[in-house]
Amino acid sequence: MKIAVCVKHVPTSENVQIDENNNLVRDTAESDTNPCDLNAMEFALQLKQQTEGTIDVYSMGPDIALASLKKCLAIGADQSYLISGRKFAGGDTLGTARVLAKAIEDNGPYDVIFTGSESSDGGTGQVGPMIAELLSMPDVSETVAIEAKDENTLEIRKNVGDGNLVLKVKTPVLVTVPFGCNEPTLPTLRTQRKANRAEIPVIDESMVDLDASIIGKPGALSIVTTVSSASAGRTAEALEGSFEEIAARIDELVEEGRA
Amino acid sequence: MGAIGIFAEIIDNTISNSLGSMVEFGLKVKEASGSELVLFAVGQDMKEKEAGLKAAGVDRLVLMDIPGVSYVQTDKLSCAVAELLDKVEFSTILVPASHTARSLFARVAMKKNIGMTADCTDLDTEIIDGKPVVHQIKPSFGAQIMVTCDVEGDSEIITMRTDDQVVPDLSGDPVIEYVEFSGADSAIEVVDFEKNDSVNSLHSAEVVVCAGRGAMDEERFDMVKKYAEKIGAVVAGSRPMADNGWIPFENQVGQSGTVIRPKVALTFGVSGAIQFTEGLKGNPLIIAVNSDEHAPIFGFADYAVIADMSEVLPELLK
Repeated sequence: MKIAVCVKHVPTSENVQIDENNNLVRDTAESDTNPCDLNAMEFALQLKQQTEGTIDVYSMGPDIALASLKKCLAIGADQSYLISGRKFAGGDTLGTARVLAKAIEDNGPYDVIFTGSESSDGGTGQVGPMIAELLSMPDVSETVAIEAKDENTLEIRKNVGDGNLVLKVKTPVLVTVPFGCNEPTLPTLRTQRKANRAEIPVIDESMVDLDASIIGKPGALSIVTTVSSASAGRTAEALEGSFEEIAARIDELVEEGRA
Repeated sequence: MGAIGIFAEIIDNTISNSLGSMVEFGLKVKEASGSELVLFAVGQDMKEKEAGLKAAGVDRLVLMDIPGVSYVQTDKLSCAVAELLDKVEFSTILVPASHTARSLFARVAMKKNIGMTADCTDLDTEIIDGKPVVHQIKPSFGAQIMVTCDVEGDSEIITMRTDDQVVPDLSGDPVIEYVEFSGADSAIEVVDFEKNDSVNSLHSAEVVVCAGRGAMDEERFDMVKKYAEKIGAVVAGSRPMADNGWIPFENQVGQSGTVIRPKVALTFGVSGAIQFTEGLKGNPLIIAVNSDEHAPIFGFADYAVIADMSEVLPELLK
């Protein structure tokens, strides 16, 4: 099967800067691959092995996203693509999905597209299903197991809280994968070194044939207007005294609360 | 001016528990804007579900009956919802932030080119130039950030974080209409359901001890676990604890983990990022231990112990 995986490079620091346009400043913050994207990558690897397939990885973002693309190569992807261009910046989920879907379509068709459930920074979980819509394929969220039944049928287990639904899905399909549902493969020193030397092709705005008015900032419909502090300061009543006294008070409170 | 729409999600052929909370959000917008409030739903056997959808304050029910459809068939359902939106003019569409509803409406947003904001916790409606504008308030990356979003265009889709304990008042008498679905296939077939045998004890726990980044130390975490055992509590933790393998991911509390409703929660070394606090519901008694007096957890907890846990825990273990 021909498999595509979308990964996002996200800030990991809890102290992200915000610029005057209410955008997160990512390049100065510590960053890494969005955690659940590695769970998505893991299922891609399983499917690649089972079907003797190939994996292409896509990431949209500044050059810093190359780190995630190289990590995926080191884990077992066959090819990585960086999607980068000024016209792509400042978009909402609609614009982001349009650019990703177009780049994937131009290199496709793919049998299966994987994304993480949501990013740890934006966290909307919308981009995956939007790509599926653009490429006229079904999408399955909360995927916790996946297996190829034949050339164009997958058996997918979807977590629904108190259990898993077993689904039979015709390819092509887009699958979103939650954090923690499998144990991601990690690069070894040797595979990472090899991946670090890889040339990663850049898909820029001249290569993505989309009207500039529907992508990036001009195409964004959901606009952040204000960013404010969520912290209301300390409102909790402080327990004071010796540690012995504090411990005794905690014991009392736990007993009262439990009753 | 379009109506305010509330999407009533039908999960497993049953009306979702998010309905009560969703109606509250809808009524809040209606009160400020004076717009018509429409509850809409797509699913099978809708006739039987009418009574369960007659929420007080709702002006109109718009239903679409699709025999045999499953709520996971978002490819088919998105065609159905798009057709329904051709028939009813909405200026604001409120959707519960469940995995299936957000996937469904992300598809609808793309089909219709409607701006979409995710995971809002509150709405603030104001009238600007005679038109209602719904400001969408949501937590975002990092402990200290709340963002407000507005959507441009004639319509907007907003997914809301709901409190599923809110019971809807079903004494309303809305006008009921049905919209025909012209039909579409789904590539998704439901073949089986495998129930989880192991019920996570975290969900039923009355007392929960939550460890955070500050407890990432063998000796400290060991004391946290011993203390939990002593008071008969379940050990849970924040995302960094799960990310780094200190706790199983099933026991991670928060936005990307489990939502729990204990009677008492004690936190040790948890900073209190909104990603964590979103997972503690039902207004439990919260006692927070953290050495940083500015930790956001102290704006959320009932009691604060501003101290190093390694000084408090030995006393608690005595």
